[in-house]
Amino acid sequence: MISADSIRDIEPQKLDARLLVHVREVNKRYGNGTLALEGINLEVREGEFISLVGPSGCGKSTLLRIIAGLGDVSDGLVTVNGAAPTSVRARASTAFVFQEATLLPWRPVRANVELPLELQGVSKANWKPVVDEILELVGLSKFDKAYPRELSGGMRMRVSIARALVTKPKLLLMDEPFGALDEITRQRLNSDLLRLKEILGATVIFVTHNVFEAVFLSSRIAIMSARPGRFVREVAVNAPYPRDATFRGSPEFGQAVMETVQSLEH
Amino acid sequence: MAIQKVSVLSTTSSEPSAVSKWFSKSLPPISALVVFLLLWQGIILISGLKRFVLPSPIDVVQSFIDKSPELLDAAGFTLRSSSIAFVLVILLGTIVSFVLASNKFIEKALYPYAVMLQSTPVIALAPIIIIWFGLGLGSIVVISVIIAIFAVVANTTQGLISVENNLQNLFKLYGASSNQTLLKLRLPFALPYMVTGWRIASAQVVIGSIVGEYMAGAGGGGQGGLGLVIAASSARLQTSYLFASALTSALIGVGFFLLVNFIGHLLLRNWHESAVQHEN
Repeated sequence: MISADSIRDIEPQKLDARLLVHVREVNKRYGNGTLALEGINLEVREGEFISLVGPSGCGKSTLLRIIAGLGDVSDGLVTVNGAAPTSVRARASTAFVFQEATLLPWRPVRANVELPLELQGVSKANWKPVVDEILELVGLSKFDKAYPRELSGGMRMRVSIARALVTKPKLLLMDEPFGALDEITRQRLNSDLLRLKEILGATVIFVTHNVFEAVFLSSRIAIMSARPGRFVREVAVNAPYPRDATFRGSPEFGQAVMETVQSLEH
Repeated sequence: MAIQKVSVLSTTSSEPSAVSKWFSKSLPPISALVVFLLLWQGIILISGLKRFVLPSPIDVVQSFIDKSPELLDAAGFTLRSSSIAFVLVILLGTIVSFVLASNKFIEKALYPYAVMLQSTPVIALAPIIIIWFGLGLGSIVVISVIIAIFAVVANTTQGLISVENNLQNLFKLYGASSNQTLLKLRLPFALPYMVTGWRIASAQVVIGSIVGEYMAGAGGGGQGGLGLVIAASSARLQTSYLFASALTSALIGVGFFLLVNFIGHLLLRNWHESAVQHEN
């Protein structure tokens, strides 16, 4: 992470153009007085893939929800796309993927993916091409009439991701989306996620406690400690995109995994 | 191998015809009924009980046939008051639930009184209702609504306040209006709960109508229904007629229930566990 001091050296306009998420000196105290987050600073630039990794209860999901505008900060400042997270401007550029697929069970796949367009008032005539494209990208074209209960956990999560991407968000926030899936499904979805990110050019902040997943996906990994949640270290994953399954066997992968694990034990 | 065996079995065994399917489903209850009727007739033959104490099944059937014009008439009236009450129960019950679920304060403020209304014996309210609405259809419907509405309110409210938190967050993130959240999220989410409420209420409005007719039926104006028939035949010790009218009431209740069940099935069959046909 670049500290607040080093930012000043860079030309402001140029910086603003690329800075998508800015979290500055954020503290978060729960109603019962527990300090959940302390002194959080985070800058995310367009095109980055950042994972927040840490033990249960370290506040990584809380931080993600704050960036999404679903929770308040106690102190500090958060901007998304240059505006407050709850602003129309920030909301229009953000999408969130929950831990569960969080689909509407009474709607078939297509209608679930259409939901964001519907809620944002996009004219109905424009839905079909966008939805067709995204269903094709996540490999669900043949399942557009299926109801969520007819799909496996992995496929439901694909629908959830398709729904998030249908608005072409600049920023994709993901809260342990693959935590409940088996390892094979998880690895396939990891590869697919990277592919989608490249095609759609989104920036991703990804919460997980799976170190291998974090290394495979991320350009940077921010490691957090528990109670109060604080950033203890950052690991840069020095491997170019696109990455495929062979990356898991490379020395860079092993190196980043080791660094991350050591920081977590710290 | 095991898989092959299964598939051979399922392809060689002929599909059961609709008639034999119906037969295998209906045989147990029909045989139970036959045994029951035989026992009933037998007890009367052996014990020599008087007809006004316990009429025989044949007496009841006879009474059905003799009194069928009156019974049909009364059943028609009961069906009418039950239907009116049912529509009112669903409309009012749903509106009340939305008000209760719209705001924690309102819910806390009003819920105890809803429970109180539900717990007050209708017999204590009947005289007041009759003073206000007079004998006949008006009072009967009001009594029926009071008896049945709580099931709709309790279930619908429960459904509306049970909406999954992250689904609400999702709607919030896309800037959904409160109307959109209501129509596209809360209402469909509450639907299975609402159907449960309708099912219970469907049986209760019939009971409520008959109780209402019993207490507020107006015989002269043809506004009596089965409740009044029951009151009158009990006063005259026409026990077999009493049995026939009780049976007619039960048939109306079952008919109502089946209708609501069918509507519920149509609404939920595609997506809700309660209405989905599983193959395993």
